[in-house]
Amino acid sequence: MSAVRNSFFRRFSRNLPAVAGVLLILVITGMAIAGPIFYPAGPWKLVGRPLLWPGEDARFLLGTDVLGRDLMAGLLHGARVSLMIGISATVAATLIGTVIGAAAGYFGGWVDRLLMGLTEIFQTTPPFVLAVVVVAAFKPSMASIVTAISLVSWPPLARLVRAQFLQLMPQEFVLAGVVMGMSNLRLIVTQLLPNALTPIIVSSSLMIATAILLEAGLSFLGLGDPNVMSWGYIIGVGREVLRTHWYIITIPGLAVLFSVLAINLVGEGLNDAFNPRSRSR
Amino acid sequence: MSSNALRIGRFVARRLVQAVPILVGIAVINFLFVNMAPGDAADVLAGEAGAASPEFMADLRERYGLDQPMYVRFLVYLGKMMTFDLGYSFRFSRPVTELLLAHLWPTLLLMVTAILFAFIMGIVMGVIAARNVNRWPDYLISTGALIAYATPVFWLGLMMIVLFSVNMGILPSSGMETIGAGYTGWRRAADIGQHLIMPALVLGMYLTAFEVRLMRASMLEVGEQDFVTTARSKGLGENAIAYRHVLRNAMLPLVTMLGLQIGAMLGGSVLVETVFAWPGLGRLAYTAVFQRDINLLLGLLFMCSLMVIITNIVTEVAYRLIDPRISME
Amino acid sequence: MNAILDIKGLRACLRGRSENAYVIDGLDLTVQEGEVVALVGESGSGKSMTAFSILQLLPPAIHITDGTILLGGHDVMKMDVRTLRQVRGTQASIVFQEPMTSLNPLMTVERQIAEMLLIHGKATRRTAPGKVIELLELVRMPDAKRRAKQYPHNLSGGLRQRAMIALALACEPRLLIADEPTTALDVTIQQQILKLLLDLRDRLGMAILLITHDLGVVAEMADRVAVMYAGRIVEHGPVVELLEAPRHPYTHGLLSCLPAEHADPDERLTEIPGLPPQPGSIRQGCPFAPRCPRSDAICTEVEPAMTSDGASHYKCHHPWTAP
Repeated sequence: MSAVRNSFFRRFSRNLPAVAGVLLILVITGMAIAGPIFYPAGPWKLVGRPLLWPGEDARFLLGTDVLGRDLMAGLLHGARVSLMIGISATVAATLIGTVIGAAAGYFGGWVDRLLMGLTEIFQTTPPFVLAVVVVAAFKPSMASIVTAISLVSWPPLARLVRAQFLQLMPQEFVLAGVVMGMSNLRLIVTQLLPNALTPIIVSSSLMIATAILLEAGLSFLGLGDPNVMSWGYIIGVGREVLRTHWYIITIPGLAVLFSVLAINLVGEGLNDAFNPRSRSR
Repeated sequence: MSSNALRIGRFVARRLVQAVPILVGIAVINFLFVNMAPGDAADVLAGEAGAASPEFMADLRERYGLDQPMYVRFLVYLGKMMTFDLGYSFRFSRPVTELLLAHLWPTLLLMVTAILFAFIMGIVMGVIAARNVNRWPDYLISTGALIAYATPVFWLGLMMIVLFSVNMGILPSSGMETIGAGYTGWRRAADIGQHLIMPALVLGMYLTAFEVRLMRASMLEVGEQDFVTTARSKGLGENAIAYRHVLRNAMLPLVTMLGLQIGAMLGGSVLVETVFAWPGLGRLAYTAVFQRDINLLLGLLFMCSLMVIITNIVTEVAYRLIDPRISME
Repeated sequence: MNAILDIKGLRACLRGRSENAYVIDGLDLTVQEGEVVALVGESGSGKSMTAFSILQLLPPAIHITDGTILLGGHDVMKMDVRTLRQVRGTQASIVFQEPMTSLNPLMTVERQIAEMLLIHGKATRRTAPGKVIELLELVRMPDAKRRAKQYPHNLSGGLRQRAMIALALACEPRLLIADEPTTALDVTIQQQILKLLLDLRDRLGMAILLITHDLGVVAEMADRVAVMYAGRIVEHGPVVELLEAPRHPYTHGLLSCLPAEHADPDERLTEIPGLPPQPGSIRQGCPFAPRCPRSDAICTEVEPAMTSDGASHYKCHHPWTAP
């Protein structure tokens, strides 16, 4: 086992883009932690003249927005929002997807047909459109945004887990468990899920990136939690003065881009490290 | 040949029948979500009218059937939906079906252009990357695709407006045509085309990045298969092998994945149409959300799902036409 | 007699590995015009790599470091890309092991064979379909006209292999390389394909290099046999002598793996103990020494040279004696 783990880390650490992704994620996490430390008053405070360009006033490295809020404070606090929503929505979606996929794959028959029908219904509705409707229905808040994102993100994972289960079920160690009289739940939790874990981890890690993009899109449309400053919100507001003050939207946009890029790099690095054969050179 | 057309027809018909339970399921779920909202259209209308007397509210609710229990409203909704009567939009004072059809064409134009762009670019770049694997053209294309894959579409749209409309002044930043110019014929088509460039490019960027990566991986995988060695042993040149034998086989996954990507693209069109003020379904959805236009929202969700289902059927037919191993039966 | 194929001192190694990771290591092999030569060995001995190297079809990870491969008198390794392409299919062509995957699934049988005829100028677009039918009839494809219009997935394994042979014969090559052509097929089909190959040899007069691990096939088909081990030929000779009086202990071992004709079906086959060496693991001495019942000190020190004794040629310090 430890040999397996060692070779996993060796393969991962040899993958330069993946290591760069980890470093980028560390930077973004650092930003999220630094936010409340450097800007304890929060990102909403009006601190200076509005629409200051970056560097125009030494106190505001990234300038100020339409109302005179410090963009650096917004950027740091936004990192917090993006990471929190990205991770919690992914955890929720992974749970939903795993439970549904596992049940469908394990029990088969009408349970499978019913759950896969449900999955197909959710896959047929465009995710972002459905997320918009759900958030609007519940009134925008952190909770409704996380709910909406996880609600539209679980179907691919359910299909993945189901496919894994179908592949694992006929194998000997599972049959041995059946013969030993293990209960369904025990068999699923102790025998099947651990063996399906690798692909679940890989696709969940990639799901964080999609969740961050969905959140940014929602808050850009004005469907963000009105109490938290997120990158999408800054872009949405900055859009009003796009023609004259494009710097306002540039920095949070790049922040979204780099976060998503970093997570994708790490996710692919994980995939390559777990499945060395799948790597296309 | 006509028997072939017949087989395709039967296949499409069978798929459409199979889609009915899915559509009913979608209707149920959409209805649940939209009706979970606290407050209803009467609240919104009354709030705007400024006269919120209980009598007026009750009158509004009765007029629009909002006083009925939820299941009655659902059954009525479902019954009407089967005849494509999607109800009446309170806000626009027009039937929903009419509104949807009016906004469908701009969105279709935008999406079809974006998909074509993504497909052509995806195949061309993917092939270039695969044929130069681990050399600079591959690194350049792969890195570009990785970045495009991580870029938020709405932000890309705004940055392009800054560059091409504000700074360079060469492309219009909003709308589908120049208002009040009164162009007709080719002049009008050119005008629409000019307005189309940026939104289509932005909307297609994500799909392009996806297709490039898929095409590259697929070309490399197919390139290692036995029949490629057979082709080489026949004395074919590398170009003929790549284009005649590898390319067609490598394109199959692209066709399959298109059906799955179309949903993401419809979501993207809400953002892109909002950014570029493109008069399509996406912007209509944006409006409907903020005006709590329930019937319109339900109609939109239904319409989007229908578009996804139709695209899926089209891609399945295309796949079966390209790959003789999979039959229409 | 003229040699259609003459390989001398061929060495090929795995790219990116240590210099000694040779998959083919000093291989000599000749095939005369019209002759059937069987190349025999366990999987991993380098048989298929030898076959691929003749038409320069080795995977990118493997490259040739030394040796010459004369095909019809010309060294394929000195050919430019254009000449090489011309030689492929006309001088020599290959039938692969796996008929399920060696044809393009998206092209009809006719198009795949016609493509071969067209690139070598053996037919025009107008005459190609007729020639394809002739070729399919030559390999006794039942209902050739209808089959020509079908896709590979419509054909059974045996029929696909017939299509593959028709493809290989399209430009009348002087050498047909058959890489385990029947391994993936049912036993009854195997017999038909082998008979077809022999029959075609008699009718068309081409040479066949038959690569196989099946000594039963060898006995039936070959004029001469070359036994391959660890990337080199360890013994070669006429089929009767080699099968009846093997000199190399490895050949001997392979032969005792064969079930006797009327043996008790429950009796276990004797196997050669151990595994063939990994490329690069043998540094000196005879590569078979670690598994050889007859090896002694000299075997692990000095690699034996090719010794000729009558019709037999072998590389061994302690050969079995001729009867």
